[in-house]
Amino acid sequence: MAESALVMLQAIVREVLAEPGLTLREDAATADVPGWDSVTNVEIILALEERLGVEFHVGELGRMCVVADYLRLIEARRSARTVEEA
Amino acid sequence: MADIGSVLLPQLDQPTPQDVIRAYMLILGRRPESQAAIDALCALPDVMTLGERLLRSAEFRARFRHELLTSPEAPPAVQEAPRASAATVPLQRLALGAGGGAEAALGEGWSVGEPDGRWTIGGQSVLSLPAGLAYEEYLLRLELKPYHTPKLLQVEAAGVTVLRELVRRETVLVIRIAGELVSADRTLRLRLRHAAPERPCDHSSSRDDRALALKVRTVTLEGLDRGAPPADPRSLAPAFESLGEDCAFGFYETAIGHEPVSLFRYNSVPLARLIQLLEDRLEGFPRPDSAALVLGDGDEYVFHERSIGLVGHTSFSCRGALPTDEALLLARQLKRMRFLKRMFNQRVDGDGTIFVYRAFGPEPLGAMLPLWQALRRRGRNALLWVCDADELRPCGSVERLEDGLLRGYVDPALVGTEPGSPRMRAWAIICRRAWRLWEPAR
Repeated sequence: MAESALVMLQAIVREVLAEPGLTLREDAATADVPGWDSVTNVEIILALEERLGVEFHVGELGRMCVVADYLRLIEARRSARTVEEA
Repeated sequence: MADIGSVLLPQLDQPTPQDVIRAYMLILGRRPESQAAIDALCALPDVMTLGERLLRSAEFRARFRHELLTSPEAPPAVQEAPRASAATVPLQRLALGAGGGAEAALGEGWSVGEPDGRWTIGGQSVLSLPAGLAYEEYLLRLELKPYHTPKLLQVEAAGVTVLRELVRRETVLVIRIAGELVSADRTLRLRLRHAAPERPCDHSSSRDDRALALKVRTVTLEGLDRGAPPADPRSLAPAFESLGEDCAFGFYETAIGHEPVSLFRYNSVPLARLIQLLEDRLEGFPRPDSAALVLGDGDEYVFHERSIGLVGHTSFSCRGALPTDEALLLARQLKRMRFLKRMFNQRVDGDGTIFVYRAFGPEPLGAMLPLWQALRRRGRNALLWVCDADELRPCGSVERLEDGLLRGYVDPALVGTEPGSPRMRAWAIICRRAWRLWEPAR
């Protein structure tokens, strides 16, 4: 069974920010997560691309402000892959 | 009166020679008599002190006493309201005289109310006006007159200077104020700085020793309604992208809580290289054999890509880093750069981005045209070229030079990178105006 989007994102953010105890909430603003800035954000997105095996388009990343935005992005890409595979 | 539409005038700094010449022309109606006179006045602590010095001069008093005595009944001069295609919505009208009920709006620096208004006391007076619903811009009208001789008035909203005017006689000043200068609790906080207050006891047998500058009769505030909701800086932010050359726009994005993936936000290349990179779609960038991490001024590694002259922040701390770490960090930085390059090319090839360029120093228009053309060859983009404001091009103003070529002006003296600071507010105003100029074309 595929891991939930939140579990995947949380694992990546913990690794990029070197914060193994970090817990993400869906409604948290990324700006309120210590260490999640524009630079670490690039590494988080790169890790997501690798994990999902996709390349995001800049248009998908324009308004990423809260954790839920990233979860929607992950789910959308997973859904698209499922449709392609079907 | 000069067009002061939403002007953010320079702040209180030590006067420049140009300030001295302008003050002479404004107050005494002539140029300074010598370079020595200019140099002496440049040593004063700020422009208001300069104005006060000239207002207290014998030459000024002789000149304007005659004018005041010979035309005491001159009708009030009503300043022409800034042209606006918008309807105005009345928000506040305060009568400052006795019984006008204005006390709740008054802070320091006011005398007791008189039948026809209220005198300012001392060097500054404070007003707080409820601004009601959020509007993009407001019109503030001050009906006032000077005490005894003309007075230099500077009006500040939220610490930003919005008017500097010599009040010669009874008049109505109209000031256009950007919505960003209203505080979060929807209050417009105004500070009136008035130079050279005078005491009645110095001019007559009166025992009145109050230091008077201006008598304010009414204060009115109107909202400028363009029929559109005020723009939230964050909602506009995705329409913009930094091209460097400095990090000013990146700081603004951080201040409004927008952290985009953007190649040139904290990286910079010389203008000529930037144009070439746009033409070549950044082909070959980044080249590992030209890339290096070097120690910066602080404890941060700085990234250099020598083949194109790119220098940028990394956020990698070099404190305690081993040489082996450096190779790993460089590999991470190169990976970031490849990702940001892909994002940048997609953005430039798309439609409707406003790319923001602020050079480290002055650049002629001729240097900007190739950059604008390079952006336009790739997509239907706009270039917002941000320059230093001056007397003719006030801070916050934006002009359209060509289709998709905009020039905005920011006062380099404005400080602060925290949300709501004068500098960040100025950038918000520039972005909103640029977006308004570009959006219909887009």
